[in-house]
Amino acid sequence: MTIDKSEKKVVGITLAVISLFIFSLLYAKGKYKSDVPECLPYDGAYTEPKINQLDEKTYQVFSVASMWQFQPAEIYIPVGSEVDFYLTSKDVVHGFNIAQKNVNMMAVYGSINKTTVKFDKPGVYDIVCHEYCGVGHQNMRAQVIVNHPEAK
Amino acid sequence: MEPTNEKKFIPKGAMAFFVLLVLLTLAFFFGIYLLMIDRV
Amino acid sequence: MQVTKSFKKIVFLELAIPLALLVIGIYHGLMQTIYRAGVLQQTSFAKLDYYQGLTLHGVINALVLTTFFAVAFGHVTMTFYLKREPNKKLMWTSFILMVTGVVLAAWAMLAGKASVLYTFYPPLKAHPCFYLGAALLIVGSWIPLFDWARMYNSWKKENPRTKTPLAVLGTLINFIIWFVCTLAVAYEVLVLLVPWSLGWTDTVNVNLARTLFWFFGHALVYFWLLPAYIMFYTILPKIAGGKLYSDLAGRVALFLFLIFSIPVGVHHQYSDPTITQGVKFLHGMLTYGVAIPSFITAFTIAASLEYAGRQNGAKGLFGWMGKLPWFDQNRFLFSYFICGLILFVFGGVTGIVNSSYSLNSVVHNTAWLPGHFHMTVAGPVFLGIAGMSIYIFAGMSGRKIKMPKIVTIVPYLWMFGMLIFSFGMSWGGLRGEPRRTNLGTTYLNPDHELFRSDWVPTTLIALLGGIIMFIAGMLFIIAFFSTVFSKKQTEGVLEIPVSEAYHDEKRVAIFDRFKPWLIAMVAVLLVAYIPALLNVNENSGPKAPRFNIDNPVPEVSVKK
Repeated sequence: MTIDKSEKKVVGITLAVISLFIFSLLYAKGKYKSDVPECLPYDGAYTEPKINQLDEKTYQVFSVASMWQFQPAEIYIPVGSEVDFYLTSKDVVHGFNIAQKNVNMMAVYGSINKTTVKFDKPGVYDIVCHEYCGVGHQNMRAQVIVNHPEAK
Repeated sequence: MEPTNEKKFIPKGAMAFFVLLVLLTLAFFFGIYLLMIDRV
Repeated sequence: MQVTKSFKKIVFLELAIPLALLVIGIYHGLMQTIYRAGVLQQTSFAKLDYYQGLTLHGVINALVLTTFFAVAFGHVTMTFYLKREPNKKLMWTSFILMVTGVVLAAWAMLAGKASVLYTFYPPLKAHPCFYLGAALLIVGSWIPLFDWARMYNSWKKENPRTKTPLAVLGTLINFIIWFVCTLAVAYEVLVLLVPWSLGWTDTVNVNLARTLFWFFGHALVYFWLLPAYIMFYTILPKIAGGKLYSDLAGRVALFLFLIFSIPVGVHHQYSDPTITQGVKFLHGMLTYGVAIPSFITAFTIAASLEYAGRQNGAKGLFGWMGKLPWFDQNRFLFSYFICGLILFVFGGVTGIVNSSYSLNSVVHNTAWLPGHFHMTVAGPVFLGIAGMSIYIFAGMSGRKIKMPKIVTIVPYLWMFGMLIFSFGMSWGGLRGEPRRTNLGTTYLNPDHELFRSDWVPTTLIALLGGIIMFIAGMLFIIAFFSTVFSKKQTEGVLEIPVSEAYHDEKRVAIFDRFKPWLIAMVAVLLVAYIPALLNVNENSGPKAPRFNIDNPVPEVSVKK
């Protein structure tokens, strides 16, 4: 079986590009912790909305999505803090997107999703629901307000 | 079988196009990659 | 080739009915860009609610049109190459099941009882007729595969040493992929969702439903795409005045699709709970695998076009691009194919971004996503469907193409509109603009507290693109139906341009047999999906009750 030389080159180049992509993704994962959301087994403890402060620079937010709001709706975080977002839904599938921080999770009934973010810059960060969830979907938005601690 | 009565056809232009396609792919990938890192 | 009246009738209906429905489908495409730009700041218009229209748009354009065409084009391809017709009764049965499914689903959607979008994620509940309609459409589309397999086997007995024609190989592989992947969604629909929506069961595991859907959902896009690939490999080179650069490359690409189309579905679930990062990464790598046959195709088709251009006297590295039948009315199919290919460059490249694991967090469920997939399903897939539909209909019914100048130009107008639309959507998406959202009432309403001024330019650009595409689409539909209702000129025949191959490699057994590839396909599927399903099972908690689109209170309380 003779395979055309050019076609072989094409497959070779494609495999090289793919390897470069895989390496880059693993590098980003190692250096910047860039990753997809973390997987947790279901635990009812995360189904009540909460903000926990674990220490000066570490927070946990238990976010509960429902038709058509996120609870808590306004989350005050001092700048420089690391926040673990835990997410679930009380009803249909919702999205949870903080665009400026690569936070992109689905809120699903009976499941817990998790991601970690460091808020280095002050500002107001929108949490937008980006999965259709019924008639109130376009109203569904919360905010993370990152301030200098004295400013609250 | 390849025709022997004409000059052998080597797809140089297609290879050039393919390389440009790969460069475009790299540009889009690393564009979003850098954006992702910027937002960390 | 002469074909029977019955064959013609079924193919004509299978081509024309979805194109008629496309009027509704494209109308609501335009409407969405109007709502999203805030030109309309309301929940409905002309008795169609935004999300109802969005459901119709997705179901008609991405499920009905594509499935009917794949079946019709499959009938045409198999018949033409194997010189025998499918069984008449089975053709009719398949058609009737599919149409019945569409009627049921259409009723549910138009009655406002199925505004759940074409992905119908539970626990948002639709009327049982919606799910049953979808199931019938799918089951009806299974029938042709088995009949074509029978035709192929009888052809092989008569032609034991002949290579399977590439178009035949493509059709069979495409429908094998379709049959296998639809088993998952058929299970989801018939076992999980229909009883739940009827009230026979109270709850459903949402993660399981989503995982089954996406087992189907990614392969779905290859089911859409492979007919267009068949056109690129076997029709385009001839139309362009050249030859297919390598027949073997086409076969390798098709078998790679057979292996890699399905076991990648979790890349649509990167942001889902219950599935581990390890499984998600595995699916990401398998998705890079399914990119390989597309890169092979890009090169092989470019080489085929370069050959055509050089036959026409082109010189230099890129001169061949100019020496192609861009605006030749007698070869109008070329414009459908080339515009599809140009769009697919961007569609494919953005697809690679989406499937790249952590990169997905930047774009998932933002407007970038529809920006991507309109350059694929509404790029080569739609243009291939449109061009071939009018070509086949006119040829087989003995009619002349009406409005030939417009028919030839429409793809360029469509492509121009699409590039603008997708640019607006992609840019908006990178600014956090969500998809599947009626932005006009809130985010694009300057008087509302949620107003986002940074989404104004991006939604306006998408609106401009949407208007251009709407015009192009309507022009095509008018031309198509003008042709359909025009006077018959001759007794129509079934004729498809057939490309010769430049490298017409000798028959290579491994690339002309199914068994080893089917075994490999199943093996990879097990490796990709057993862990995913185990994850879902381990990490899921309570199952969900039924929710209607307008009520946070579920229909029946969950029993604790």
